[in-house]
Amino acid sequence: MGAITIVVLTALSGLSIWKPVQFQELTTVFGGYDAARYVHFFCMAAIVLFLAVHLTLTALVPKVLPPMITGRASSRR
Amino acid sequence: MSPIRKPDRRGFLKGGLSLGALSLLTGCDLTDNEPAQRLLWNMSFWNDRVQGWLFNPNRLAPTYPESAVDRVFRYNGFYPEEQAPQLDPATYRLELSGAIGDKRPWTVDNLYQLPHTSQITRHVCVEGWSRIGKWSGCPLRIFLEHVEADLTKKYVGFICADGYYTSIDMPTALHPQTIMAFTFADQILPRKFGYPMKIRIPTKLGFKNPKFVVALSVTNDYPGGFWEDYGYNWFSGS
Repeated sequence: MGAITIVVLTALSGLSIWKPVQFQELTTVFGGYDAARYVHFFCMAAIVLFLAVHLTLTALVPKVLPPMITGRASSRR
Repeated sequence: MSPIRKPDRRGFLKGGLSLGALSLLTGCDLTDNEPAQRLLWNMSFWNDRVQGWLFNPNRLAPTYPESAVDRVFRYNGFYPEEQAPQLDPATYRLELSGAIGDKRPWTVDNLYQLPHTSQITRHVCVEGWSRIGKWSGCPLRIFLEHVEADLTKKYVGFICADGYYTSIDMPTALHPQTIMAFTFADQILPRKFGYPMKIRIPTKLGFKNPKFVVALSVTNDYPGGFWEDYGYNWFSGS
């Protein structure tokens, strides 16, 4: 849930700094142009952190990767 | 005065692409690959079209009170401030070309007699900084109408005294906040900010706001731009 919220916030803050004139209402929602930049930066950093942690966990326990892709639990324990 | 190649977003994107390709096709450099170049350019042209479609000619950029103006405004250019051209008002002429009825060149005095409007708006740089400043000058639309420019053409191109050049779409050129700026912070435009005239466009990124403008053209032939020809996105609207 948290990760989805972060992705949505990243996209919306990105739009508001890409088009601060055409989407100025959206920029205002984030508290202005400068604030929207901070939101975008920290949300992007959170996504990178999320990826790093999850990739590290998968690297530590590689046997969980095939079931994640196939959706089947391995038959042998 | 050779332009220094700064790291830019497209370079970063290409770098990222070739990094990804490296894991698949070891030893193959995607950045020199013609189809990859074409793909990136076509994506940028598609981006221009989307931005042109999003651009509302009646939508004004936010304006700010005098108290919001940044006291120290940032100098920016592809060379140091000391190398900024020093134009002589006695010899300066703004040359006009292309689809313009009255192509007589303009002197500084002629330009400064045009009707003025002022704005306090945010200048957003592609490098990731922004500043609020106050500019005043003549709306470009009034000037273009005055010189009988063909307003149905696609582009307005600008050439600067320092070798810089850029171009904009006609809807942006006709936007009420697009001005030929003659003053900055209530003073005659200082040398470092483009004396005697810069084009101030609050609906575009900073690099689309040329300084020291010495020639203006109205055309249907894509004029490109200094950074745009390196791969910066052409429309770059806000």
